[in-house]
Amino acid sequence: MTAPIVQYRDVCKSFGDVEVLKGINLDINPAEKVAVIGPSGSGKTTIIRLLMTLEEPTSGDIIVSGENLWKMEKNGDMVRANEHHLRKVRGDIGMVFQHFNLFPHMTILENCMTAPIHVKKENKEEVRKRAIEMLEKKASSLVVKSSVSRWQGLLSCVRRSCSLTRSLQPLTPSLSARCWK
Amino acid sequence: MNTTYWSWDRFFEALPFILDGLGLTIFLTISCFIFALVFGFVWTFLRRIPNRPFNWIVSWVMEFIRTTPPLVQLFFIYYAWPVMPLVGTTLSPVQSAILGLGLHYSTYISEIYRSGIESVEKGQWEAAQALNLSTLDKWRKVILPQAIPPTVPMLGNYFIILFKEVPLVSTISVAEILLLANTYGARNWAYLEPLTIVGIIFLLLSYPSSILIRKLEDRMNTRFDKNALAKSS
Ligand SMILES: Nc1ncnc2c1ncn2[C@@H]1O[C@H](COP(=O)(O)OP(=O)(O)OP(=O)(O)O)[C@@H](O)[C@H]1O
Ligand SMILES: [Mg+2]
Repeated sequence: MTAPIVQYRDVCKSFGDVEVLKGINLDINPAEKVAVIGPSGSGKTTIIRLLMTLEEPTSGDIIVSGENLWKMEKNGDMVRANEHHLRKVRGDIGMVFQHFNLFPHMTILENCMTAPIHVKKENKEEVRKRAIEMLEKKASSLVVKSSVSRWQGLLSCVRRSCSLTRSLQPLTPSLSARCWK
Repeated sequence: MNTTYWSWDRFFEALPFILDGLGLTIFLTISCFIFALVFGFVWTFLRRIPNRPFNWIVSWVMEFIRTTPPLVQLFFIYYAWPVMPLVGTTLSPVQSAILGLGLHYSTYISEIYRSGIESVEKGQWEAAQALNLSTLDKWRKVILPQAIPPTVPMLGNYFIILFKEVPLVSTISVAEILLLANTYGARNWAYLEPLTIVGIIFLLLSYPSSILIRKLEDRMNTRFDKNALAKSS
């Protein structure tokens, strides 16, 4: 039995007085696919936003590959994570937003190339080749050639694939390959 | 008594004399504007530093610059600044003009930048964060390229307004067109023709520019409408 890759430990999240998550405990194993189902407003998006470090839990821990997302060790104490720690742990997490949030001033290809080039400092030509390959396989070869003003008229299922490609591009290759199956 | 009548001879005599200062007027407009564009960014980012007292001070200084007349600021920089203890240095008239008008306009420009930045959707900031972009890359690659283009027409408007404010610097002896017109008028006891020339010069330059900017605005509007359309579908 391998160790879980993602662990939620008594995670609570409130927005002001509104208690949205009341003690979530969840283990996710490598290569496991998990669906969270619930009525509108029940907190599904909040669960994933906590994982993506877009929201900070009110209490509890989220552990990814053994690293606590929101806490770090400092002089033997666990303290609130700083930006440096967050950037480190965020590297292998990706997310597709409900509205995709693609960058409207870039082409789809540029959307998918930004993070690998600027965050991972990968070679531009290799990134381009990989992004084109993924987009052609998962979205459509038309997407690769769409100009900035044209791609926004694409069907939302196509834009979702583009957004997924963008979020997978900067991940560790073995991880992104697994998500791709 | 003939001074009260329009004289074409005087008009054509004054014209080259005044046009001599046009280069300086244009140079000052452009320099002040560049100064304001750069300093506008400085203000915008200073105000975003998350520290209450510091923010307060910055906002207060900006408010002070914005709500005091540029003429007073020019006088202060040119006449009062040199005699200040410790910090005081003498600036040439042109340097004072660029600093004075540039600083004044930088507070307006900063406000425009701020509105542009605030118009970028929250989802764009989050997407940049989810992709783990550094703070610098987030601004360079995602936020500013979306925040600044829609503000270009507004910036252009300020460029024209600034152009029309440049004659203020004649009061600190910068030899731009208004000062030259006044000089000509004083020498010849005839103000009608030289001042008319100044008016015509401003009209000839401002009017086409404002048409150009309206065109730009239309183009921006159609572009952003298209985006809005695509987003809602
Ligand atoms: N930033 C926020 N500020 C205040 N309240 C929030 C915020 N984000 C979410 N909420 C509230 O938290 C609750 C859960 O929201 P969440 O978006 O996680 O639900 P969801 O399960 O994804 O719903 P849906 O199925 O409609 O997408 C909702 O009641 C929502 O109003
Ligand atoms: Mg949701």
